[in-house]
Amino acid sequence: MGIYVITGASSGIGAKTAEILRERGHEVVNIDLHDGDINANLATKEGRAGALAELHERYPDGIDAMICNAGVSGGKVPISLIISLNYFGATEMARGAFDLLEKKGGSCVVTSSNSIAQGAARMDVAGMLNNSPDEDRILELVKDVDPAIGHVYYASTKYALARWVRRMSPDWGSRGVRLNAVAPGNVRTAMTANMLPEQRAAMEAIPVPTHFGEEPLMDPIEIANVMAFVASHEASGLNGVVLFVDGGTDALLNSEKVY
Amino acid sequence: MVINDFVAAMQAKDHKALAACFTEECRLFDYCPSVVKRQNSFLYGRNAIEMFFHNKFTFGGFGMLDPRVVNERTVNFYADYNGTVIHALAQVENCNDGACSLDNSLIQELVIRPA
Repeated sequence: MGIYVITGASSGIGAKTAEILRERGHEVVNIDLHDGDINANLATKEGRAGALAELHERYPDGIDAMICNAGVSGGKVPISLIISLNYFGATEMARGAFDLLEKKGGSCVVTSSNSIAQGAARMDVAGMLNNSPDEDRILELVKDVDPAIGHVYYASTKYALARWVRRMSPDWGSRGVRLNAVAPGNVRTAMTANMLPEQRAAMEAIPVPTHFGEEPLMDPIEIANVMAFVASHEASGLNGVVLFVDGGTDALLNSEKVY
Repeated sequence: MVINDFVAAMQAKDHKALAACFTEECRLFDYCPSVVKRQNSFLYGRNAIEMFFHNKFTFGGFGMLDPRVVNERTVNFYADYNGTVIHALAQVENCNDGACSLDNSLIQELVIRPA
């Protein structure tokens, strides 16, 4: 059985993924702000460094998978948190665990979002994150941005995250570590429970075809099953993939994009 | 006529009323977006039309401006794609009863093309 590390597994998609992996007999390490096996604030450099140090101490012989799932949605939180947790909290944790993954021919999965295909992302922000990822400077730049437009920054970080996967995966794959992204649709989580009414209306206007006429939000387990598969050795042929797990929303809105 | 219901639903931005103009296994193709280098739309089925236009009407992705019903099968209008406007013709190619002029006619196939 393998050692699976997952960030943000105290609730939502992460918790379900951890549950599935444990049921399959794997050892699961949850890194989260609260109630984790390792408690750490992944929105900070210090928090990431501490979590990575502990991982290296606990598992010097390597890990089988790193699932970078921790994130926040926009609307109520500072823009700086969206950027530092969603983008740097994922990419820096993945990079920091690379040597552990390499030792076991492991796999890394990051949680993106199907919102990356809906035109909300600001490409200048995504470009900064991918091309000149100086966290301190970017956070300084956005410190006065109104949190009300957080959904734009959310989509931007998730777009950058997916592109980071595409860019890094050839090299990582050649060194025995697969790197993929899962892009969920609208899922019922703690994040969606706190949406403002206008956010809820907007969310419902991004329909999930497999939920037509029913509850518009997907169940976390629908995403978690795919996350567990993509992270597993059974998915050895997958590398550099941004896998939309949205019940067909992307196909509905972008049917002509077959690649 | 169903063409009038179609126009009314478009103008009201009512995705459910719009879907109700179509048969269950209908088709709606829109070839206008490619004029401005955007993705054309190919929708199959009433439910897809309802979901697609729920999204488009909410986020301003489609609007029908100044519609002029030409006959029971054709409407001449300006299609508004998030502020980009294209002069268009919506043509009902088929209805479930072949006539498209009865009270209970439903659209089987509709194509939107640049005018």
